[in-house]
Amino acid sequence: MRMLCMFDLPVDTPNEKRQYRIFRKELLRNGFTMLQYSVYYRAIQNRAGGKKYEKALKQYLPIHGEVRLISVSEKQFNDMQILVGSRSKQEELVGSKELVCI
Amino acid sequence: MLLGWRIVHVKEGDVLRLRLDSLEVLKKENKVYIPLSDITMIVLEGNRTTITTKLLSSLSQNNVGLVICDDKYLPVGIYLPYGQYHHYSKRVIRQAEWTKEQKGLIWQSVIKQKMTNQVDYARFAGVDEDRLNLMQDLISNLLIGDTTNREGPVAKVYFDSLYGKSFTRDDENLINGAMNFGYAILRSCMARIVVGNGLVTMLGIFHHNEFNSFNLVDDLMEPFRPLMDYWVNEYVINDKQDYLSYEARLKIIEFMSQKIKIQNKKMTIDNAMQEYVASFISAIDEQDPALLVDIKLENLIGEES
Repeated sequence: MRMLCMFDLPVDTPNEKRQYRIFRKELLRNGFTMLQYSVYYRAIQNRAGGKKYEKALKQYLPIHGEVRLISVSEKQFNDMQILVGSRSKQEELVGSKELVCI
Repeated sequence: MLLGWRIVHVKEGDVLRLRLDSLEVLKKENKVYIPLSDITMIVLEGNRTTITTKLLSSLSQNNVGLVICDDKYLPVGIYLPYGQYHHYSKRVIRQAEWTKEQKGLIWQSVIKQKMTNQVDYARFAGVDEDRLNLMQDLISNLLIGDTTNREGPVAKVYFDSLYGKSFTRDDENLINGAMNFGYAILRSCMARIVVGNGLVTMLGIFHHNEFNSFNLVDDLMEPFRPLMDYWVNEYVINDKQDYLSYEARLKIIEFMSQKIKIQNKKMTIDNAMQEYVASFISAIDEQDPALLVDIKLENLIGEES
């Protein structure tokens, strides 16, 4: 299953920019990859496994703006239609595969 | 508990390095990221891949095993974490003090599981009833520590029945190639888990070859061997091929993420190995073989994902 993190963060003041950078870096550090701007995802084994990342992210939340987190099943995630654009190499090669071949 | 669930197989990567707790694989102009905490093992093939020391040190910290293959694609080396287990010295001191009785008692159970799985696979493969009975007879008078060496004759009957009397494990053919590859993968996975539990790989319970650094690993992987035989014969070997292709190698590695039932819980073989080693530690420390988790072929057949 996949955990999605969507955010909208203000970057008007230097402090807001800083908080944004820290938060985004923490997303990457926890294995999230960018789906498109401000939308990141991570493959997780089950809901319980996702808790760990929820906790990790909560430690680095910015004060202003908006951050949302949702977990969807593999089926639901793959049902997502791409109307414009295409899947990235990262999605194709890694995705949620147990055996990743590069 | 080790929580990884991914195996990464890199055939021809250019550079492997660390980027924000993730493995970054560079291949031509593509960059791919895989979080280290997801990975249990990395298998490297090909001759041109570069790997950074920073990544190697992070692999250790995350208890990720790294397997390196030669030109013939056979695993020739493993890179394992050192001293990452929190109670390392205590466990190793205990391990060094295991008595002959303790080891013999556990070995009897471990090797019995393997031989039972061999009989089960032979039955599945349609081997004659009298051959199965012969194996069963040999198993029935198994002694503590297998002092009368029942393992050898059972293996002989087993391989003869499956592949014919002229077959030896030294022949160069697809079956042996596939088995060697499969066992090497099993061995690497088991080595990683043994080390992750703070045991040293040299001090075995039965294997005691002075030139082998993986005696304990070779002991503990025994029950899994017939499972690999099943997998290889069922999904890898076919008449169209006479060599171990890239697809065949990947198929063998996929074995590690197949589902097996352990104490009524479904889990991957990799996690089953983890449970097995954990149960082995309590079984040998408390001298109670009943604590050892049962690895059964029948719990794999039909459960594969």
